[in-house]
Parts: sequence; C-alpha cells; structure tokens
Amino acid sequence: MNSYRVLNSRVARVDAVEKVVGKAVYTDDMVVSGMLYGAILHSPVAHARILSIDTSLAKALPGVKAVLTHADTGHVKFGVSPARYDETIFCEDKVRYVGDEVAAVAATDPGTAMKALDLIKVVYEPLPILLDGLRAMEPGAPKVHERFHRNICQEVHWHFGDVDAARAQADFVRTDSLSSKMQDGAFLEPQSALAQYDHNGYLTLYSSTQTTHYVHRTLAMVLDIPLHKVRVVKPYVGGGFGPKAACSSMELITALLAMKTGRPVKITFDREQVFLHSRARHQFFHKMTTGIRRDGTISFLEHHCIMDGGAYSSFGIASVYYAGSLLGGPYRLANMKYDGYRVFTNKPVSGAQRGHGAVIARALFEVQLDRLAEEIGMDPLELRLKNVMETGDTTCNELDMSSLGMRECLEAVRERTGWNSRRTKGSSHKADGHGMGVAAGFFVSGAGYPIYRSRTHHCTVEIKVAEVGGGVTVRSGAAEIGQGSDTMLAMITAEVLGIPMEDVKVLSGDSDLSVDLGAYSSRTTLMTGHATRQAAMDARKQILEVLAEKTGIPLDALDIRDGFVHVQGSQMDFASIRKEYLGEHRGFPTQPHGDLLTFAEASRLAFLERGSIIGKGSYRPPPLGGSFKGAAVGTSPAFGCSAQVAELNVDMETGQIHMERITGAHDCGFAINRTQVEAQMQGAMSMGLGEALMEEVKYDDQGRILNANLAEYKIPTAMDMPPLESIIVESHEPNGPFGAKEVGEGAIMPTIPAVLNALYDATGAMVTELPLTPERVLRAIKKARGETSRGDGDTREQV
Amino acid sequence: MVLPSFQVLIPSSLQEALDMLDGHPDARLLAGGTDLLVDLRPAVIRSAPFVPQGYADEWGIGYQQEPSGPLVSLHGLEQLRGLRSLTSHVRAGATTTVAELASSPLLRKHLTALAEGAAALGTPLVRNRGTYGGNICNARPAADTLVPTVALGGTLHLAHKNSTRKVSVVDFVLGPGRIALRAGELLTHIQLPFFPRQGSAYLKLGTRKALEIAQVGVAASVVLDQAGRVVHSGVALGAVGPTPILCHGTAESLHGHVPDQAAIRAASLAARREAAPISDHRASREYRLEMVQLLTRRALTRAVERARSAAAPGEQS
Repeated sequence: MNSYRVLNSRVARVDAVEKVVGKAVYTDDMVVSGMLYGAILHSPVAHARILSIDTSLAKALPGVKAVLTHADTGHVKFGVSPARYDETIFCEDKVRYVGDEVAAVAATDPGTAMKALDLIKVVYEPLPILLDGLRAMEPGAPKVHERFHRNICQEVHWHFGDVDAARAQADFVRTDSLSSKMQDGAFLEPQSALAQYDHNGYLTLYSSTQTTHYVHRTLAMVLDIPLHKVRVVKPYVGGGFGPKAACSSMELITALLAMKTGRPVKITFDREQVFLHSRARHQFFHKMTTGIRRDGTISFLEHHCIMDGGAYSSFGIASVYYAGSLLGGPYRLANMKYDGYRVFTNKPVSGAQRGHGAVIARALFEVQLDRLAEEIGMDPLELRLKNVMETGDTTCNELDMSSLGMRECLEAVRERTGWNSRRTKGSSHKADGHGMGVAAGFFVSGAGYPIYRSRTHHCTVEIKVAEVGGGVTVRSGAAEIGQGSDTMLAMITAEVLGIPMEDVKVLSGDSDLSVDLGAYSSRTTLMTGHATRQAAMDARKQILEVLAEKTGIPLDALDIRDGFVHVQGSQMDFASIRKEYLGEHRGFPTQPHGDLLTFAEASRLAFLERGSIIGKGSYRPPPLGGSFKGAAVGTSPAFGCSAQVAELNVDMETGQIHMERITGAHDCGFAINRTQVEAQMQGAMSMGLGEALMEEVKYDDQGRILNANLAEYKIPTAMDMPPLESIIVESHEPNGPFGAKEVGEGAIMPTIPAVLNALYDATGAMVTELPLTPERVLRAIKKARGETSRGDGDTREQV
Repeated sequence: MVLPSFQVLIPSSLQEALDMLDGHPDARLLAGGTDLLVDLRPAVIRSAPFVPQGYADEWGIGYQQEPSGPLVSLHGLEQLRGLRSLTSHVRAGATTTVAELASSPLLRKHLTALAEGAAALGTPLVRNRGTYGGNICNARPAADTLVPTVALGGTLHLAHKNSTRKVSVVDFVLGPGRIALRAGELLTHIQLPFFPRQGSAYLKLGTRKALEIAQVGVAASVVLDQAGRVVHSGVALGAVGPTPILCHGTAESLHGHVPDQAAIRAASLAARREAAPISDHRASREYRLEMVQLLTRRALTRAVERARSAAAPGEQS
C-alpha cells in the first residue's frame, strides 16, 4: 500500500450531505429580488425562411418587460470552435431545426412570459427539409447553410502507414457496418441560467454549465462586454456529460434580457428544451474494413464515417476527428486510413457526449476484432492481449502512451469473470441465448489544447491560508458537475498540506476565482489536480518557511501531518509561538494544547509574519501531437483505458436482452478516491448500456422529436441494471498528479461492444443498427438462422 | 415545468362531485394526476398561428389548447377507494391506486392478470399516485390495467347526478383517449367476476423493465370445468389496435377443449388474426403481430397452469 493519509481512500464527498438533505443550491433554486422570468420562442418548423417577425402585441401585454429578436442583437456569430462560428443568438435569415431560437421575452411571471410568446407573429416561408444524414452530401440535397458546400461541416482524410500494402499481407479481411441513433444527455438537471447586469456594466451569469470559462468568453464576445466585466458562476450542477460544455443561445438570451431590462432574469429549460438544444451524441454511420494476420496480428484498419450533426457545428468539428484518432490505440495498429464527414441536417444539434466522437467507432472496431478472432480460431480476449500497446508505445497517429494498463485491465476481467473456463471456445457459438462478450477501449485524460488557439494556462488554483489560522480555502474555476471534482481538490489539498479534509474549504466554478477550462475531455483530475497540488505545496512551503525562520529548525526537517507540525530528528521550542497564539485567543473555550504545534498556530504565525499566504498553482500540457492536419485532436498528457466483459441472456423468441452482469476494469493511473472511481465506472456502464439497448431520439417526417421526455426517451432504470463489478487498475501515470489520470469518459468505451459481442456469442446474431431493441435483435437472430422475416400473412407457428 | 393556472374543485361527497360535474360540463376529473397534470403542461414548441394560409395543415402544426374547465378532485371521496371481495366478484373503487392493485392478495389469488398488469405499470412513484379508474378512463390502447380488465370481463359502474348505469369495459373504450362517459358522469367502481378453477396472466413486451409503454401486452384468463375443459376464457391484446382488443376467435377456439399445447397454439394463432397493429416509433406492425401470437401462447400457458393449480385437491387437473 502507499503512505497517503487522504488520497486513495474512500472518503465521503464534500458535497454529500448538502445534496442528500436537499440543501445544495442549483441554478433554478435561485430567486433574486426583482427577478424576471424569461421564455424562448422556438421554431416550430425544421427549415424555413423568416419573412417577418412582429412583436408589437407581445410587447403590449402587461407584465412583459422585454421582447427580443435578432434585431436587438449585435449579430455576432459564435459556436464552439472559432473555425466554425455559425450560430447567432436568434435566427436571422432562416430557421434550421424545430427548436431553433427565434425570439425571447422577459416578464414578471412565467405564465405571462409564455402568453407573450403566443403573441409574437412570425411568418415563415417553408424550405425543403433535410433529415437524413446519409443524404446530406448528395447533389440536390437541401442546403442547411449557404457557406457549407454539400452540407459538410468538416471532413477528415487521414492515412497513417500503408493500408494497401498491409491489405496485401493480411490473411483475413472483413468489412462491417454499424450505425447508431442520436442520443440525449439525459442529465438530471435541465439547463438553467440567471443573469444580473449592474450599473457599472458588470454582467454576472449563474448557469448550469460544465465550462464557465468558455461561457465567459462567449458572453463577452457576443454581447461585446469587456472580458473582465463578465463573471460566470456555476452553482451545483446536476450532471452534464458534454451537452453543457459550451455556451448556449439560452445563456446569451438570459444575459441579453438582463441587460435590456436592467433586472435579473432567469430561464430554466423544460425537459423538452433539453432535447431541442441537445448537443449530445451524434448519429454515426461507420463502415470499417480490418485485416488480420493468421497469428492474430492486426494489419490495418480502413474506416469510413458519416456523422449527422444537426443544424449547427457545435463540437462536431472536433467529434469527427475523435471518431478517427481514438482508434489509433490501445492496440498496435501501424496502418490506419480514415475518411470522416460531419454533415448538417435540419435537426437539433449534436455535440460532445461522454466519450465524444469515439464511442460508436470503438464499438464497431471491437466487434470486428471478435469476428476476426473467430475466423482465425483465436479467443477474442487472447487476440486483444496479443495486440495491446504497452506503456511507452506511440500510436500510428502519434499519441503517446505514457502509461497504459491495458493488458492489466484485460487480465483483470478475464480472471474475475472466469472467462477461460466459462466462455464457449471456437467459432461454433451455442445460440442458446446466453453469452459473454469482451471489449476494450481508451480515452484522453484532458485535451492537449484549448478550444481556441492560445498559450493559456488550462487552469490555475489559489489556496488561501485562512488569515485567522487553522484552515485553507481552495479557489478554483473547476466545474463540479457531480463527478466529484470539489472532493478531489479538497483531498489533494489536505494530503499535501497535512491537514484534515474538514479544514479545507473549496470554492470553485466561478470565473472570478481562477481560469479553468472546465469539465470536459476528462481533464479535471489530471490538470486541476496538478495545479492544486502545486498550490498546496506552495502554501505549505510558505508556512513552514516562516516556522523555520522563527525556530531555527531547517525547513526540510519540518512536516505537517494530521494538522500538527512534526519535526524530524529534534524537538522544536515553540513556547513563544503558543504563548502569542493563546494571548490572541483569550476567552476562546478551545485552545491548542499538547506537545505538538498545531497547523492553526503555524498558519496564524505565517500570516502575522508575512501577511496573506496564498499558494499558487497552474497547469498547461506540454506541446503534444504530430504535424499532420488535425493532429491536435486526440492528444492528451495521458490516456486512460478499460476492458469490460458483459454477460447476458436473450429471449430467443422476443429478442429481449436481459443483462446479467458487467465486469469492468479501468486504468485510472492512481485512484484519488476509490469510491468515486468506481462510481464513474458504474455511471459509464449504465450510460453505455442505455446507448446499447434503448436510447434513441426519434423524429417524425417533419423533424419534430417524438420522444422529447424521459418517459419515452428510455434510459436504463434500476430494474434494467445488472450487477456491476468495478476493478481499479493503477498504472501510475508520470504526467498525472500522484499518478492519476481519467476515468470519467474512457470507462464507457467497452460497454457497447461488450454487449454486441455477448449478443453474438449468445445468438449468432450481428446487429448493425443501435440500439438493440427487441425487434432489431429478433430480426438479426432470424437472419443468423437463415430465416426470412415473416410477413403479415405468414402465420407459421415457431416451435 | 410551468403549469398554467387552473381551478380545482374539491367535493367532499360523491353527490357533491356529481353536482359539480353537472354544473361544469367542461370539467375534468383529477384522480392521481399522473396523466392529467402532464397533459396540462404548455407546449414548448408554441403553435405558429401566423404560418401562411395552407401551410398549417401541410406541416401539421397544432394549435395550443389552453385548459378551460375546472378540475374536479376525487381525492377526498372514500367511497371511490379500495378493493372489496364479494361472493363472485371483486369490486374495485375507481380511485384505488395502481400500487394497491399490484399488492392486493385478493387480486393475486383470483385475478392475477390485473395484479400483474398493475405491477407492470410505470414506476413505484406512478403506481402510488395513479389510479385504476384513471388508467381505464385514459383509454390508451396499451394501458396496463385496462388490458387485463378487458380480458377479465370487467363491468364499469358510472354515476350521474340523477342516475347510475353499468357498461362493459369493452363498450366503454371507444378509441385512443375516447370513452363512452357522458357529460356529468363519473366512474365509481369496476366490477370483476371471478370463478373457481380460474387462472389468468398478463405479459408485457417492452424495451426496458419499468417506466415502459407496452409494444405488445396480452392478458389471458381461463376458467376450467371439473374435467379440465375450458368453460370460459378471455384474451385481450394491448397496443395492437386503437383500443384493447378482446379476442372472440380465441375464446371460441378454446371453448370446450382441454387447453393442451395444440389448443393453445390454435388459440394464439386466432389472436394474431384479430390483432390490428400499426407500425409506429415503438415497433413495427409485423413484429407486433408475431409477438401477439407468442405472448398469447405464453400468457395462456401460464393462465392454464394457474387455473389447474387453483383447482380443488382431488379435482382433475
């Protein structure tokens, strides 16, 4: 074991009690004096030119304080990447999806705001609608944006190694396809924002966001306010998973309404609006050809992908790179070709969601590996072990595996599940409805570069030692969105300073506190953890320096543990320090005593001698990646990896899947908090299972969502979740604080393919379209048996 | 979620409730509220009343319905609540909660299909609030307590200010969301007959295990005579037509036969012929037809097993 006192433990989250008793404040809980309620008019049609907007009746409604359209804005474009700014606060010339923002109102109560929306007259001229991502690039397809030829938002063409030469050498080659459906993030808390604008021109926005930093920049840019006069505060957030990782029109509208009315304004999304705003996982259409040598060596991968991105770019410009780049590992793959297209359609906008662009690509590749293993008669887990990369390897697209416990993860799930004795050997699957499947995957531990081009520190942290002594306050811009980053900050600070967790107060998620790029790309533990460690070491050094000066004991003989100062080798005479402290605290019932100097006394002394003690830390990754176009996407200071085995039972007559167990192992480098690492793994498995089995945003032929609610958009209930086993693998990442790296997103990578491979093991069925609804599964089972689907008139009874 | 303002009337007796309904023909009844309150939410995508003439129909743009009449709450009316066992039938009050149906030993024993349907409905939260009468009056073709009620031959008792009447559940449900309730009427209770040597079952097919709307639901009930022959049966299909479908052909096919595998297969095929599913975003017509046949076979098999084990010791089984 290790010598840590706080780290690597199962200490309770710092926000646990507040959340459990319902006292944690989320944005929509906030009510400010004089606050108005905003509401947004969304386009009811998927594609139309706006001929006119008349707001006069709405403005005349008593209680309405502002009605805004594009005419009230500065027409500044925004988005996620500066290379693809294609959104405006309100639609200007045309609407591009059902839900596009056309106008907004602020009124004294929500009911009046909704009434006012009905009084806004918008005249539309319908345009042809494009709903099918596969048709987007066809000649004659409706054009979603004038400036994007063939509706292509971004295309990627990569060729690493020599695929054609490798194909000639391969013994087995096969081509498979897999498509998925548009997802919803399905986080618990709908987006909410509350804006205040003061007489000095300072704007404060409270928002349910993952990235205060990017919201901060976008508000300043679009509303043309000096950056230093914008403050974005993130109260508690009920989940994000990616869709809350960029500034939204709603946040801009809320701010603009506050500026126009001079009063605080709040907007909270209805669940339906969460679906309309979306920015969740794209719909993917993947086709892959993979070659393998008879001995199990993977020869090459040729990969074609079309991603339906909806009406605007959002994160899509990055997603299409991720879909390709993250197949470079975790197996040795020298030859990889990738052609990816991210296209526009007249649907809600897809963006980044847990695992970003890489999840469905990973699923198909892992399915192909299983089928190829079957063709050469090798155990699929063995085939993976044969090809895994090791620490120190570099992928064909120049990603450095500075630590990689991929082998350990695979071996862990093999052992825990009894794989070798329990899984059917060879190619003749039993088709008895019971199956086991394995898959692996890896993911970045923080994006190597910010979204805009900059040398910026990715995060800064200040630790202010209480001037009264005894405790510290961590000041960070990091976004606690439920993943536990506040607890991570407190644990690292307590560990480094040698004080109990309860003496560490965390202030976070506020752009006035520090710069932090936010909770996305699984970056916070590695990056903000680094900065926190540095800040805590700085604060510790400053306190101990003062103590060394005052006592004459060498600095390196001093240590703080459990809130007391320990001296190596000698005794410390601190009578004068204690006497002064007691003198300052006459009448206080609790006084320091005993033969160890307390942290309270030491930190008070440091203040008395030096004034405020503030430890500073920051983190910025080193330059990463190759020189080819798009090389920056997928780079990271470290990569987490995981393996999972799914076990399931299939009702061979209905196609229903009953999950029996998922066993996962994840290499997080070093577990700062073991319980939280397991919780992330379990959350990822649950989300992955949802995507595998049931999640699907459905549209009618006019582009309207049919299931924009959590009754009909199905995520797994407690009843659907099988027992989960989570095994922590620790490879001690050299670039991570204390060896730590990600677990937030990477753990989702193996879930979908493990289920697909288990389904094949159980039934012999290959399903090429997700999710695995009973109907799709039954159809695939029949196909595997060589039965044709039965029509209405055919009423044979099946035994 | 912002609900529009609405008026709620809270009667303290059944008669007062009926008087209120008589005075407010546009009133709606509030029982558990698990459907009604959801339906009251204003739409996020507001209507587009100024779309140029002609486009509204083509684009299928609906017009926002503002709630008009008051809600009449049935919460305080004790006489509408609870399950009672009488000699040959169960009397279920209209505001008996779905959770009460699901956990009732009485139903588990005599009318298992209804208890199973109730247990399959929604989530614990929905079952604790939602009511039997509400689920019937909502008249969704997939409703998990309605389909067993059809199979079990339920009779609905309706009260009006000056009169009462009875109507079979089959005649009551006219289409999706449409029922034969007249202005001023309310459903007071449901009467469900039960018999010796009866067994029943409800099976529901969905993508997930809770909070699910059935892609296909099948309720089957079988009553055997002392020789083990079917004297009465009811098979009802959910989500495969505009209303739950009571399969007459299935009942005819089983009548007088010992329900062995062959008889059950024949009856299942008959059920498939009576189903009239559409393809929608939940499942295709073809899949639903196949599942009707399969689930009918499974539900009948289970119902027959239960009927046989319900037979008195010494009787032929």
